[in-house]
Amino acid sequence: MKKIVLLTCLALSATGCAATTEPSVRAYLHERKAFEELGKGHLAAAEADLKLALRDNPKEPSILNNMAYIKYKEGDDRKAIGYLEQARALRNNDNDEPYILNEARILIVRHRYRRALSLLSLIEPRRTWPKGYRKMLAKALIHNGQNAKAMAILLENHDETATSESSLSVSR
Amino acid sequence: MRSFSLYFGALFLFFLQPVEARALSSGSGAGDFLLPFSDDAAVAKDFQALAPPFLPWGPNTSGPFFTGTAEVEPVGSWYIEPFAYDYMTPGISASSLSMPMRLGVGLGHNLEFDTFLPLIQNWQGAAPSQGIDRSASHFGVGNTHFEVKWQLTSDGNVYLPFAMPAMALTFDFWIPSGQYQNLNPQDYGADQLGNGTYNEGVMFLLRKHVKPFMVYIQLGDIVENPAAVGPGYTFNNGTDQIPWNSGSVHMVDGNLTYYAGALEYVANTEWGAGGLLELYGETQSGTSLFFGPANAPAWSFLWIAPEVEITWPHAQKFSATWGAGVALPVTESNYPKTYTPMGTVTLYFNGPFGYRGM
Repeated sequence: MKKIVLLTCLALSATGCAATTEPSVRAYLHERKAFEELGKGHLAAAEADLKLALRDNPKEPSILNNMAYIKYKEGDDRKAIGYLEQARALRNNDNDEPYILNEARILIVRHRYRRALSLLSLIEPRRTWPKGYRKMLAKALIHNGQNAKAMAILLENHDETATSESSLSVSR
Repeated sequence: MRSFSLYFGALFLFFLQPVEARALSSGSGAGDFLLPFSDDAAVAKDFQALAPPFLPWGPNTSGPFFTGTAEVEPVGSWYIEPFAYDYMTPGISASSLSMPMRLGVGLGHNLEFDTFLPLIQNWQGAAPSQGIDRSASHFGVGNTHFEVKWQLTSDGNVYLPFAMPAMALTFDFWIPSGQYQNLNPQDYGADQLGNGTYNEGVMFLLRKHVKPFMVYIQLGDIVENPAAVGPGYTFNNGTDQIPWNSGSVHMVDGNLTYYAGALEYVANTEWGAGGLLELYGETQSGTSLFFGPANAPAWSFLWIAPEVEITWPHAQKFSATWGAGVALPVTESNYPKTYTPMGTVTLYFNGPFGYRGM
Protein backbone atom coordinates (compact mmCIF):
# COMPACT_ATOMS: atom_id res chain seq x y z
CA MET A 1 0.00 0.00 0.00
CA LYS A 2 2.80 2.39 0.97
CA LYS A 3 4.59 1.59 -2.28
CA ILE A 4 1.50 2.38 -4.32
CA VAL A 5 1.02 5.72 -2.55
CA LEU A 6 4.70 6.57 -3.01
CA LEU A 7 4.65 5.64 -6.68
CA THR A 8 1.46 7.62 -7.23
CA CYS A 9 2.99 10.68 -5.56
CA LEU A 10 6.16 10.34 -7.65
CA ALA A 11 4.16 9.97 -10.86
CA LEU A 12 2.02 13.01 -10.02
CA SER A 13 5.07 15.11 -9.17
CA ALA A 14 6.82 14.09 -12.35
CA THR A 15 3.79 14.96 -14.44
CA GLY A 16 3.39 18.21 -12.57
CA CYS A 17 6.98 19.19 -13.21
CA ALA A 18 6.56 18.30 -16.86
CA ALA A 19 3.51 20.53 -17.12
CA THR A 20 5.12 23.54 -15.48
CA THR A 21 8.15 23.17 -17.71
CA GLU A 22 6.13 23.38 -20.89
CA PRO A 23 7.95 25.98 -23.02
CA SER A 24 4.93 28.28 -23.29
CA VAL A 25 4.37 28.22 -19.51
CA ARG A 26 8.05 28.70 -18.76
CA ALA A 27 8.23 31.66 -21.17
CA TYR A 28 5.12 33.18 -19.61
CA LEU A 29 6.58 32.94 -16.10
CA HIS A 30 9.89 34.51 -17.17
CA GLU A 31 8.03 37.25 -19.02
CA ARG A 32 5.90 38.06 -15.99
CA LYS A 33 8.98 38.28 -13.82
CA ALA A 34 10.69 40.53 -16.36
CA PHE A 35 7.67 42.83 -16.48
CA GLU A 36 7.79 43.19 -12.71
CA GLU A 37 11.52 43.97 -12.91
CA LEU A 38 10.85 46.60 -15.56
CA GLY A 39 8.34 48.24 -13.26
CA LYS A 40 11.08 48.54 -10.65
CA GLY A 41 13.57 49.85 -13.21
CA HIS A 42 15.83 46.79 -13.00
CA LEU A 43 16.76 46.61 -16.66
CA ALA A 44 19.55 44.05 -16.42
CA ALA A 45 17.45 41.56 -14.45
CA ALA A 46 14.51 42.10 -16.80
CA GLU A 47 16.72 41.52 -19.83
CA ALA A 48 18.06 38.27 -18.40
CA ASP A 49 14.51 37.01 -17.82
CA LEU A 50 13.33 38.13 -21.23
CA LYS A 51 16.20 36.28 -22.89
CA LEU A 52 15.11 33.11 -21.10
CA ALA A 53 11.53 33.78 -22.18
CA LEU A 54 12.61 34.31 -25.78
CA ARG A 55 14.47 31.02 -25.77
CA ASP A 56 11.23 29.22 -24.92
CA ASN A 57 8.89 31.33 -26.97
CA PRO A 58 10.64 33.33 -29.71
CA LYS A 59 7.32 34.21 -31.33
CA GLU A 60 5.65 36.20 -28.55
CA PRO A 61 5.49 39.84 -29.70
CA SER A 62 5.22 41.26 -26.17
CA ILE A 63 8.57 39.67 -25.24
CA LEU A 64 10.16 41.23 -28.32
CA ASN A 65 8.55 44.57 -27.54
CA ASN A 66 9.95 44.57 -24.02
CA MET A 67 13.40 43.63 -25.27
CA ALA A 68 13.10 46.63 -27.60
CA TYR A 69 12.13 48.77 -24.63
CA ILE A 70 15.28 47.75 -22.76
CA LYS A 71 17.50 48.29 -25.79
CA TYR A 72 15.96 51.69 -26.35
CA LYS A 73 16.58 52.63 -22.73
CA GLU A 74 20.18 51.52 -23.17
CA GLY A 75 20.49 53.72 -26.26
CA ASP A 76 20.76 50.89 -28.75
CA ASP A 77 18.10 52.11 -31.18
CA ARG A 78 19.12 49.81 -33.98
CA LYS A 79 18.46 46.71 -31.91
CA ALA A 80 15.32 48.20 -30.44
CA ILE A 81 13.89 48.80 -33.89
CA GLY A 82 14.95 45.31 -34.94
CA TYR A 83 12.96 43.72 -32.11
CA LEU A 84 9.91 45.86 -32.88
CA GLU A 85 10.07 44.94 -36.56
CA GLN A 86 10.07 41.27 -35.54
CA ALA A 87 7.12 41.83 -33.21
CA ARG A 88 5.21 43.62 -35.97
CA ALA A 89 5.86 40.81 -38.41
CA LEU A 90 4.36 38.32 -35.97
CA ARG A 91 1.11 40.27 -35.71
CA ASN A 92 -0.47 40.69 -39.10
CA ASN A 93 -3.69 42.28 -37.91
CA ASP A 94 -4.66 45.35 -35.86
CA ASN A 95 -2.80 43.90 -32.89
CA ASP A 96 0.42 45.26 -34.37
CA GLU A 97 -0.48 48.80 -33.32
CA PRO A 98 1.49 48.96 -30.03
CA TYR A 99 4.63 47.91 -31.90
CA ILE A 100 4.10 50.39 -34.74
CA LEU A 101 3.57 53.21 -32.25
CA ASN A 102 6.62 52.27 -30.21
CA GLU A 103 8.82 52.09 -33.30
CA ALA A 104 7.47 55.41 -34.53
CA ARG A 105 8.28 56.94 -31.14
CA ILE A 106 11.91 55.92 -31.48
CA LEU A 107 12.05 57.24 -35.03
CA ILE A 108 10.54 60.59 -34.09
CA VAL A 109 12.89 61.01 -31.15
CA ARG A 110 15.78 60.29 -33.50
CA HIS A 111 14.34 62.77 -36.08
CA ARG A 112 13.77 60.08 -38.70
CA TYR A 113 10.44 61.61 -39.64
CA ARG A 114 10.02 60.21 -43.12
CA ARG A 115 10.32 56.63 -41.90
CA ALA A 116 8.07 57.42 -38.93
CA LEU A 117 5.41 58.79 -41.25
CA SER A 118 5.46 55.79 -43.55
CA LEU A 119 5.15 53.51 -40.53
CA LEU A 120 2.28 55.47 -38.98
CA SER A 121 0.49 55.57 -42.32
CA LEU A 122 -0.12 51.83 -41.94
CA ILE A 123 -2.69 52.59 -39.26
CA GLU A 124 -4.40 55.55 -40.94
CA PRO A 125 -6.86 53.56 -43.11
CA ARG A 126 -8.07 51.49 -40.15
CA ARG A 127 -11.55 51.99 -38.76
CA THR A 128 -10.35 52.88 -35.28
CA TRP A 129 -7.14 54.54 -34.24
CA PRO A 130 -5.25 53.72 -31.06
CA LYS A 131 -5.15 56.39 -28.40
CA GLY A 132 -2.37 58.92 -29.03
CA TYR A 133 -2.06 57.98 -32.69
CA ARG A 134 -3.70 61.15 -34.01
CA LYS A 135 -1.12 63.45 -32.43
CA MET A 136 1.81 61.30 -33.49
CA LEU A 137 0.63 61.20 -37.08
CA ALA A 138 0.05 64.95 -37.12
CA LYS A 139 3.51 65.51 -35.73
CA ALA A 140 5.07 63.26 -38.36
CA LEU A 141 3.11 65.02 -41.09
CA ILE A 142 4.27 68.46 -39.97
CA HIS A 143 7.85 67.31 -39.93
CA ASN A 144 7.35 66.09 -43.49
CA GLY A 145 5.91 69.44 -44.58
CA GLN A 146 2.30 68.30 -44.81
CA ASN A 147 0.67 70.91 -42.60
CA ALA A 148 -2.68 70.90 -44.31
CA LYS A 149 -3.03 67.16 -43.92
CA ALA A 150 -1.90 67.41 -40.30
CA MET A 151 -4.73 69.88 -39.71
CA ALA A 152 -7.20 67.56 -41.39
CA ILE A 153 -6.03 64.68 -39.21
CA LEU A 154 -6.41 66.73 -36.05
CA LEU A 155 -9.93 67.82 -37.01
CA GLU A 156 -11.07 64.47 -38.38
CA ASN A 157 -13.78 62.70 -36.44
CA HIS A 158 -12.32 59.20 -36.10
CA ASP A 159 -12.99 56.52 -33.53
CA GLU A 160 -10.21 56.06 -31.01
CA THR A 161 -9.58 53.03 -28.84
CA ALA A 162 -7.48 52.67 -25.78
CA THR A 163 -4.49 50.35 -26.13
CA SER A 164 -5.89 46.85 -25.78
CA GLU A 165 -2.96 45.33 -23.92
CA SER A 166 -2.00 46.49 -20.46
CA SER A 167 1.21 48.39 -20.54
CA LEU A 168 3.84 50.06 -18.49
CA SER A 169 4.81 53.53 -19.66
CA VAL A 170 8.11 54.71 -18.33
CA SER A 171 9.80 57.93 -19.24
CA ARG A 172 13.36 57.80 -20.34
CA MET B 1 -10.17 72.58 -23.51
CA ARG B 2 -8.51 69.78 -25.45
CA SER B 3 -10.80 70.33 -28.41
CA PHE B 4 -10.12 74.04 -28.33
CA SER B 5 -6.39 73.39 -28.29
CA LEU B 6 -6.69 70.99 -31.21
CA TYR B 7 -8.79 73.35 -33.30
CA PHE B 8 -6.64 76.34 -32.51
CA GLY B 9 -3.47 74.43 -33.29
CA ALA B 10 -4.91 73.14 -36.54
CA LEU B 11 -5.99 76.63 -37.58
CA PHE B 12 -2.57 77.92 -36.73
CA LEU B 13 -0.96 75.24 -38.84
CA PHE B 14 -3.10 76.18 -41.80
CA PHE B 15 -1.44 79.57 -42.02
CA LEU B 16 2.07 78.31 -41.45
CA GLN B 17 4.63 77.42 -44.06
CA PRO B 18 6.16 73.93 -43.60
CA VAL B 19 9.53 75.23 -42.50
CA GLU B 20 7.94 77.40 -39.84
CA ALA B 21 5.82 74.55 -38.62
CA ARG B 22 8.83 72.32 -38.35
CA ALA B 23 10.66 74.91 -36.34
CA LEU B 24 7.77 75.41 -33.99
CA SER B 25 7.00 71.81 -33.39
CA SER B 26 10.42 70.31 -33.00
CA GLY B 27 12.39 72.76 -30.99
CA SER B 28 11.89 74.41 -27.70
CA GLY B 29 11.07 77.82 -29.18
CA ALA B 30 8.68 80.26 -27.63
CA GLY B 31 5.85 79.31 -29.99
CA ASP B 32 5.67 75.64 -28.98
CA PHE B 33 2.74 76.09 -26.66
CA LEU B 34 0.51 76.94 -29.57
CA LEU B 35 0.66 73.41 -30.97
CA PRO B 36 -1.45 70.65 -29.43
CA PHE B 37 1.54 68.41 -28.75
CA SER B 38 4.85 68.50 -26.99
CA ASP B 39 8.38 68.31 -28.38
CA ASP B 40 9.89 65.20 -29.93
CA ALA B 41 11.75 64.00 -26.86
CA ALA B 42 8.52 63.87 -24.89
CA VAL B 43 7.17 61.30 -27.35
CA ALA B 44 9.50 58.76 -25.74
CA LYS B 45 7.56 58.98 -22.52
CA ASP B 46 4.82 56.95 -24.13
CA PHE B 47 7.09 54.07 -25.11
CA GLN B 48 5.22 51.10 -23.75
CA ALA B 49 6.55 47.97 -22.12
CA LEU B 50 3.72 45.47 -22.43
CA ALA B 51 2.38 43.13 -19.79
CA PRO B 52 2.57 39.49 -20.84
CA PRO B 53 -0.65 38.34 -22.44
CA PHE B 54 -2.72 36.22 -20.07
CA LEU B 55 -1.89 32.55 -20.56
CA PRO B 56 -5.02 30.89 -19.25
CA TRP B 57 -5.36 27.49 -17.64
CA GLY B 58 -8.63 26.66 -15.96
CA PRO B 59 -10.23 23.54 -17.36
CA ASN B 60 -13.85 22.87 -16.65
CA THR B 61 -13.75 19.73 -14.51
CA SER B 62 -16.26 17.95 -12.35
CA GLY B 63 -14.25 18.71 -9.22
CA PRO B 64 -14.64 17.31 -5.72
CA PHE B 65 -17.92 16.04 -4.26
CA PHE B 66 -17.80 17.56 -0.79
CA THR B 67 -15.53 20.58 -1.28
CA GLY B 68 -16.94 23.63 -3.02
CA THR B 69 -15.34 25.74 -5.74
CA ALA B 70 -14.25 29.22 -4.76
CA GLU B 71 -15.01 30.81 -8.13
CA VAL B 72 -18.53 31.94 -8.92
CA GLU B 73 -20.39 31.23 -12.12
CA PRO B 74 -20.12 34.30 -14.40
CA VAL B 75 -23.22 36.38 -15.01
CA GLY B 76 -25.28 34.90 -17.82
CA SER B 77 -24.06 31.36 -17.10
CA TRP B 78 -25.83 28.67 -15.08
CA TYR B 79 -25.70 24.97 -14.43
CA ILE B 80 -27.74 22.03 -13.21
CA GLU B 81 -25.94 19.39 -11.19
CA PRO B 82 -27.74 16.24 -10.11
CA PHE B 83 -25.75 14.27 -7.54
CA ALA B 84 -26.18 10.77 -6.19
CA TYR B 85 -24.65 9.77 -2.86
CA ASP B 86 -25.49 6.30 -1.62
CA TYR B 87 -24.67 6.39 2.09
CA MET B 88 -24.34 2.71 2.95
CA THR B 89 -24.06 1.80 6.60
CA PRO B 90 -23.68 -1.98 6.85
CA GLY B 91 -23.33 -1.84 10.65
CA ILE B 92 -27.00 -0.94 10.96
CA SER B 93 -28.14 -2.53 7.68
CA ALA B 94 -29.21 0.80 6.24
CA SER B 95 -28.60 2.89 3.17
CA SER B 96 -29.73 6.31 2.08
CA LEU B 97 -29.53 7.28 -1.57
CA SER B 98 -29.47 11.08 -1.55
CA MET B 99 -29.91 12.82 -4.88
CA PRO B 100 -29.56 16.58 -4.45
CA MET B 101 -30.45 18.53 -7.56
CA ARG B 102 -28.30 21.63 -7.62
CA LEU B 103 -29.08 24.72 -9.65
CA GLY B 104 -26.35 27.38 -9.79
CA VAL B 105 -26.84 30.80 -11.36
CA GLY B 106 -24.23 33.52 -11.85
CA LEU B 107 -25.59 36.84 -10.62
CA GLY B 108 -22.69 39.14 -11.49
CA HIS B 109 -20.89 41.34 -8.95
CA ASN B 110 -18.93 38.21 -7.85
CA LEU B 111 -22.10 36.53 -6.59
CA GLU B 112 -23.68 33.16 -7.31
CA PHE B 113 -26.95 31.72 -6.09
CA ASP B 114 -27.41 27.98 -5.60
CA THR B 115 -30.29 25.79 -4.54
CA PHE B 116 -30.09 22.13 -3.61
CA LEU B 117 -33.29 20.11 -3.60
CA PRO B 118 -32.57 16.54 -2.51
CA LEU B 119 -34.62 13.52 -3.40
CA ILE B 120 -33.97 10.68 -0.98
CA GLN B 121 -34.51 6.95 -1.17
CA ASN B 122 -34.04 5.35 2.26
CA TRP B 123 -33.73 1.65 2.78
CA GLN B 124 -33.61 -0.22 6.06
CA GLY B 125 -32.68 -3.89 5.94
CA ALA B 126 -33.34 -6.57 8.52
CA ALA B 127 -31.04 -5.99 11.52
CA PRO B 128 -31.89 -8.55 14.21
CA SER B 129 -29.39 -6.98 16.61
CA GLN B 130 -31.49 -3.82 16.57
CA GLY B 131 -34.82 -5.54 16.71
CA ILE B 132 -35.58 -5.03 13.04
CA ASP B 133 -37.00 -8.17 11.50
CA ARG B 134 -37.82 -7.08 7.99
CA SER B 135 -36.80 -4.41 5.47
CA ALA B 136 -38.47 -1.08 4.74
CA SER B 137 -37.92 1.68 2.21
CA HIS B 138 -39.21 5.18 1.69
CA PHE B 139 -38.84 7.86 -0.99
CA GLY B 140 -39.31 11.60 -0.68
CA VAL B 141 -37.82 15.08 -0.50
CA GLY B 142 -35.15 15.98 2.03
CA ASN B 143 -34.14 19.34 3.47
CA THR B 144 -33.78 22.17 0.98
CA HIS B 145 -30.54 24.06 0.93
CA PHE B 146 -29.95 27.59 -0.40
CA GLU B 147 -26.57 29.19 -0.81
CA VAL B 148 -25.22 32.60 -1.79
CA LYS B 149 -21.57 32.55 -2.78
CA TRP B 150 -19.47 35.70 -2.74
CA GLN B 151 -16.10 35.49 -4.45
CA LEU B 152 -13.48 37.62 -2.74
CA THR B 153 -10.35 37.03 -4.83
CA SER B 154 -9.32 35.35 -8.07
CA ASP B 155 -6.39 33.07 -8.69
CA GLY B 156 -3.42 35.43 -9.19
CA ASN B 157 -1.35 33.04 -11.27
CA VAL B 158 -2.48 29.58 -12.24
CA TYR B 159 1.10 28.33 -12.56
CA LEU B 160 2.61 29.50 -9.26
CA PRO B 161 1.75 27.77 -5.96
CA PHE B 162 2.20 30.82 -3.78
CA ALA B 163 0.28 33.34 -5.86
CA MET B 164 -3.04 34.63 -4.50
CA PRO B 165 -5.64 31.82 -4.56
CA ALA B 166 -9.30 32.24 -5.38
CA MET B 167 -11.27 32.67 -2.16
CA ALA B 168 -14.96 32.97 -1.41
CA LEU B 169 -17.49 33.03 1.38
CA THR B 170 -20.79 31.23 1.22
CA PHE B 171 -23.89 31.95 3.26
CA ASP B 172 -26.03 28.84 3.59
CA PHE B 173 -29.57 28.22 4.75
CA TRP B 174 -31.47 24.96 5.18
CA ILE B 175 -35.23 24.55 5.38
CA PRO B 176 -36.66 21.39 7.01
CA SER B 177 -38.69 20.29 3.98
CA GLY B 178 -37.92 16.62 4.67
CA GLN B 179 -40.28 14.55 6.81
CA TYR B 180 -39.17 14.17 10.44
CA GLN B 181 -42.43 13.91 12.40
CA ASN B 182 -45.33 11.46 12.43
CA LEU B 183 -42.97 8.60 11.68
CA ASN B 184 -44.33 5.14 11.16
CA PRO B 185 -42.81 2.49 13.47
CA GLN B 186 -43.20 -0.11 10.73
CA ASP B 187 -40.77 1.86 8.51
CA TYR B 188 -37.97 1.47 11.10
CA GLY B 189 -36.87 5.08 10.51
CA ALA B 190 -36.74 4.79 6.70
CA ASP B 191 -39.49 7.39 6.41
CA GLN B 192 -37.40 10.07 8.13
CA LEU B 193 -36.04 12.29 5.33
CA GLY B 194 -34.81 15.30 7.28
CA ASN B 195 -33.70 16.34 10.75
CA GLY B 196 -36.32 19.03 11.26
CA THR B 197 -34.03 21.98 11.85
CA TYR B 198 -33.63 25.31 10.17
CA ASN B 199 -29.86 25.75 9.73
CA GLU B 200 -27.61 28.67 8.95
CA GLY B 201 -24.00 28.32 7.92
CA VAL B 202 -21.01 30.31 6.78
CA MET B 203 -18.29 28.64 4.76
CA PHE B 204 -14.88 29.69 3.55
CA LEU B 205 -13.76 28.34 0.19
CA LEU B 206 -10.35 28.38 -1.42
CA ARG B 207 -9.12 27.10 -4.73
CA LYS B 208 -5.60 27.30 -6.13
CA HIS B 209 -4.54 26.19 -9.57
CA VAL B 210 -0.97 25.03 -9.99
CA LYS B 211 -1.01 23.43 -13.40
CA PRO B 212 -1.78 20.52 -13.69
CA PHE B 213 -3.10 20.42 -10.12
CA MET B 214 -5.87 22.19 -8.29
CA VAL B 215 -6.18 22.41 -4.53
CA TYR B 216 -9.56 22.93 -2.87
CA ILE B 217 -10.32 23.77 0.75
CA GLN B 218 -13.66 24.36 2.47
CA LEU B 219 -14.14 25.20 6.14
CA GLY B 220 -17.44 26.12 7.64
CA ASP B 221 -19.64 26.41 10.65
CA ILE B 222 -23.30 25.50 10.75
CA VAL B 223 -25.77 26.48 13.44
CA GLU B 224 -28.79 24.19 13.72
CA ASN B 225 -31.80 25.82 15.28
CA PRO B 226 -33.70 23.87 17.96
CA ALA B 227 -36.68 21.82 16.80
CA ALA B 228 -39.48 19.77 18.37
CA VAL B 229 -39.01 16.14 17.41
CA GLY B 230 -41.11 13.14 18.25
CA PRO B 231 -40.96 9.39 18.93
CA GLY B 232 -38.88 7.33 16.53
CA TYR B 233 -36.82 10.33 15.47
CA THR B 234 -33.20 9.43 14.60
CA PHE B 235 -30.59 12.03 15.43
CA ASN B 236 -28.21 13.25 12.77
CA ASN B 237 -25.50 10.72 13.62
CA GLY B 238 -27.83 8.12 12.13
CA THR B 239 -27.83 5.80 15.14
CA ASP B 240 -29.28 7.39 18.29
CA GLN B 241 -33.06 7.36 18.32
CA ILE B 242 -35.86 8.75 20.50
CA PRO B 243 -37.83 5.79 21.88
CA TRP B 244 -41.20 5.05 20.28
CA ASN B 245 -42.96 5.34 23.64
CA SER B 246 -41.48 8.76 24.35
CA GLY B 247 -43.19 12.13 23.98
CA SER B 248 -42.08 15.17 21.99
CA VAL B 249 -38.55 16.42 22.67
CA HIS B 250 -37.17 19.94 22.32
CA MET B 251 -33.98 19.07 20.47
CA VAL B 252 -30.88 21.27 20.53
CA ASP B 253 -28.07 20.19 18.21
CA GLY B 254 -24.47 21.09 18.98
CA ASN B 255 -22.35 23.33 16.82
CA LEU B 256 -21.55 21.68 13.51
CA THR B 257 -18.20 22.26 11.83
CA TYR B 258 -17.59 21.24 8.24
CA TYR B 259 -14.13 20.65 6.80
CA ALA B 260 -13.13 19.34 3.43
CA GLY B 261 -10.18 19.53 1.07
CA ALA B 262 -9.18 17.97 -2.21
CA LEU B 263 -6.21 17.62 -4.50
CA GLU B 264 -7.16 17.36 -8.15
CA TYR B 265 -4.87 16.24 -10.94
CA VAL B 266 -5.96 17.17 -14.46
CA ALA B 267 -4.38 14.78 -16.92
CA ASN B 268 -6.05 16.29 -19.97
CA THR B 269 -7.12 19.90 -20.01
CA GLU B 270 -9.39 19.73 -23.06
CA TRP B 271 -11.35 16.72 -21.81
CA GLY B 272 -11.25 17.77 -18.15
CA ALA B 273 -10.02 14.27 -17.43
CA GLY B 274 -8.34 13.56 -14.17
CA GLY B 275 -8.66 12.31 -10.65
CA LEU B 276 -9.05 13.63 -7.14
CA LEU B 277 -8.24 12.61 -3.63
CA GLU B 278 -10.62 14.25 -1.21
CA LEU B 279 -10.87 14.40 2.58
CA TYR B 280 -14.16 15.34 4.18
CA GLY B 281 -15.39 15.43 7.74
CA GLU B 282 -17.92 16.95 10.09
CA THR B 283 -17.91 17.39 13.85
CA GLN B 284 -20.95 18.14 15.99
CA SER B 285 -20.03 19.37 19.43
CA GLY B 286 -21.98 19.11 22.67
CA THR B 287 -22.91 22.80 22.74
CA SER B 288 -24.75 25.04 20.34
CA LEU B 289 -23.12 28.39 19.58
CA PHE B 290 -26.39 30.24 20.22
CA PHE B 291 -28.74 27.82 21.98
CA GLY B 292 -26.68 26.50 24.89
CA PRO B 293 -25.97 22.87 25.80
CA ALA B 294 -27.11 20.34 23.25
CA ASN B 295 -29.24 17.31 23.98
CA ALA B 296 -28.53 15.76 20.59
CA PRO B 297 -25.48 13.48 20.64
CA ALA B 298 -22.03 14.79 19.76
CA TRP B 299 -20.24 12.96 16.96
CA SER B 300 -17.63 13.33 14.27
CA PHE B 301 -16.28 11.51 11.24
CA LEU B 302 -13.57 11.82 8.61
CA TRP B 303 -13.80 10.22 5.19
CA ILE B 304 -11.39 9.87 2.30
CA ALA B 305 -12.67 9.75 -1.25
CA PRO B 306 -10.81 8.87 -4.46
CA GLU B 307 -12.66 10.24 -7.47
CA VAL B 308 -12.38 10.34 -11.26
CA GLU B 309 -13.77 12.86 -13.72
CA ILE B 310 -14.17 13.71 -17.39
CA THR B 311 -15.78 16.50 -19.40
CA TRP B 312 -17.88 15.65 -22.44
CA PRO B 313 -19.12 17.38 -24.47
CA HIS B 314 -17.00 20.48 -24.08
CA ALA B 315 -18.42 23.03 -26.49
CA GLN B 316 -18.21 26.74 -25.75
CA LYS B 317 -21.91 27.23 -25.03
CA PHE B 318 -22.62 23.89 -23.43
CA SER B 319 -20.51 21.38 -21.59
CA ALA B 320 -21.11 18.49 -19.25
CA THR B 321 -18.73 17.27 -16.58
CA TRP B 322 -19.00 13.76 -15.17
CA GLY B 323 -17.61 12.52 -11.88
CA ALA B 324 -17.65 9.34 -9.83
CA GLY B 325 -16.00 8.20 -6.65
CA VAL B 326 -16.40 6.47 -3.34
CA ALA B 327 -16.07 7.93 0.15
CA LEU B 328 -14.49 5.59 2.68
CA PRO B 329 -14.40 5.96 6.47
CA VAL B 330 -11.07 6.96 8.00
CA THR B 331 -12.11 7.66 11.55
CA GLU B 332 -15.35 8.30 13.41
CA SER B 333 -16.66 8.97 16.87
CA ASN B 334 -20.24 8.06 17.80
CA TYR B 335 -20.90 7.78 14.07
CA PRO B 336 -21.35 4.60 12.03
CA LYS B 337 -18.84 3.46 9.45
CA THR B 338 -20.33 4.64 6.18
CA TYR B 339 -19.29 3.74 2.63
CA THR B 340 -20.55 6.12 -0.03
CA PRO B 341 -20.42 5.47 -3.77
CA MET B 342 -21.07 8.78 -5.55
CA GLY B 343 -21.81 10.05 -9.01
CA THR B 344 -22.60 13.40 -10.55
CA VAL B 345 -23.06 15.17 -13.86
CA THR B 346 -23.02 18.93 -14.26
CA LEU B 347 -24.69 20.50 -17.25
CA TYR B 348 -23.18 23.93 -17.91
CA PHE B 349 -25.04 26.48 -19.99
CA ASN B 350 -22.36 29.05 -20.60
CA GLY B 351 -23.08 32.69 -21.29
CA PRO B 352 -20.70 35.14 -22.93
CA PHE B 353 -18.27 34.99 -20.02
CA GLY B 354 -17.95 31.20 -19.98
CA TYR B 355 -17.82 28.97 -16.91
CA ARG B 356 -16.51 29.48 -13.39
CA GLY B 357 -12.75 29.66 -12.98
CA MET B 358 -11.90 29.65 -16.68
